[in-house]
Amino acid sequence: MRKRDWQLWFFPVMTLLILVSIYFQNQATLNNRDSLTYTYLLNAVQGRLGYGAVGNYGNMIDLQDLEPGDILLGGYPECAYGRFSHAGIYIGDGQVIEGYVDLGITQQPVEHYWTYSEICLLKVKATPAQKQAAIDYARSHLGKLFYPVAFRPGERIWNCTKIVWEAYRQQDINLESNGDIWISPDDFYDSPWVQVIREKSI
Amino acid sequence: MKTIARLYFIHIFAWLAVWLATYYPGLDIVLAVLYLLIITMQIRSLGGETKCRAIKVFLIWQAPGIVFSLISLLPWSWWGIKEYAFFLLMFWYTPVVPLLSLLQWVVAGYPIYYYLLLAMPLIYGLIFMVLTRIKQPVLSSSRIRYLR
Repeated sequence: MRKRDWQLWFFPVMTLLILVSIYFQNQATLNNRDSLTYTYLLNAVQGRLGYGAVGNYGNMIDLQDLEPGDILLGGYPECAYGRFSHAGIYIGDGQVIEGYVDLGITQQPVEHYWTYSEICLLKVKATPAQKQAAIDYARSHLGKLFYPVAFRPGERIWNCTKIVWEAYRQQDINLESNGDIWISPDDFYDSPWVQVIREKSI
Repeated sequence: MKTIARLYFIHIFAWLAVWLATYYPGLDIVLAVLYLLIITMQIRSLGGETKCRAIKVFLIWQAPGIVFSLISLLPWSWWGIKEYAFFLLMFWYTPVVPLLSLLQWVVAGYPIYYYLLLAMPLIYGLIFMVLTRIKQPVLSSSRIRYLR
């Protein structure tokens, strides 16, 4: 073997080893046809890769009675991850903590949720102290890196759903019960820990 | 052509390996450092090439990063092309994402990694320029004679 050949084959070998390791650790989940991984792959085959047809759908859902700790879900048509593509945690005063690829974990005005064609407001079955601790956790991560396909483990690489999930998981509230390798906004919608305040489809 | 193919091959598989390694926090950082090391060795081996050929290799190798970065910097966006370009820019530079994830500063509303990703073709360019200018150790003629 030539001297520089190891440099060429190092990453393909690592890719294979890690792939096999992840597969064997999550065999049951990855073989489940309802899993997010399966949904991703199925949608990718059908040409749906991203967060769908972005636009200003003007759902004008009532945001007046949102309370700190509530979760907002938004989605566009043709989304690859399910009905919803985005999530955020309401922190009060018309502000929400969420994640974007260019802004990282960020604090934004809540009104932009009116642009989605699918919108849902969720109340988490938690005490006010747990909700405040979840908000504080999310706030302490402002400016952290957003990566669209962030896996569930780790506290350096985030996406909009993972930060909300982890903020509540730190308070012993697991909003995702499938044990998948990543979290999707639809997991929150299906969680027994939440109740729907209101939802709308355009 | 062979050098460019080699760099693309390493970069694309590093992309996959580093992304998958983020499942095991810590391993992703190790692989990102190893990626930089391997790329450094690959670029250093280009030291003997002419300046013109080295620039050509760099531009072709980093063409996706340069294009996505330039589109992300456009002042306007058609059909969300700017947002998609930044997504793709981040995917292209996945091998260094674990290192960027160690930074948590916000400057003028944007996280520091945003600026670093936009500047990444320039950073790669500077590293490439410096590494190709470093002379490779050459054997003296007497040593070559001895080896013969």
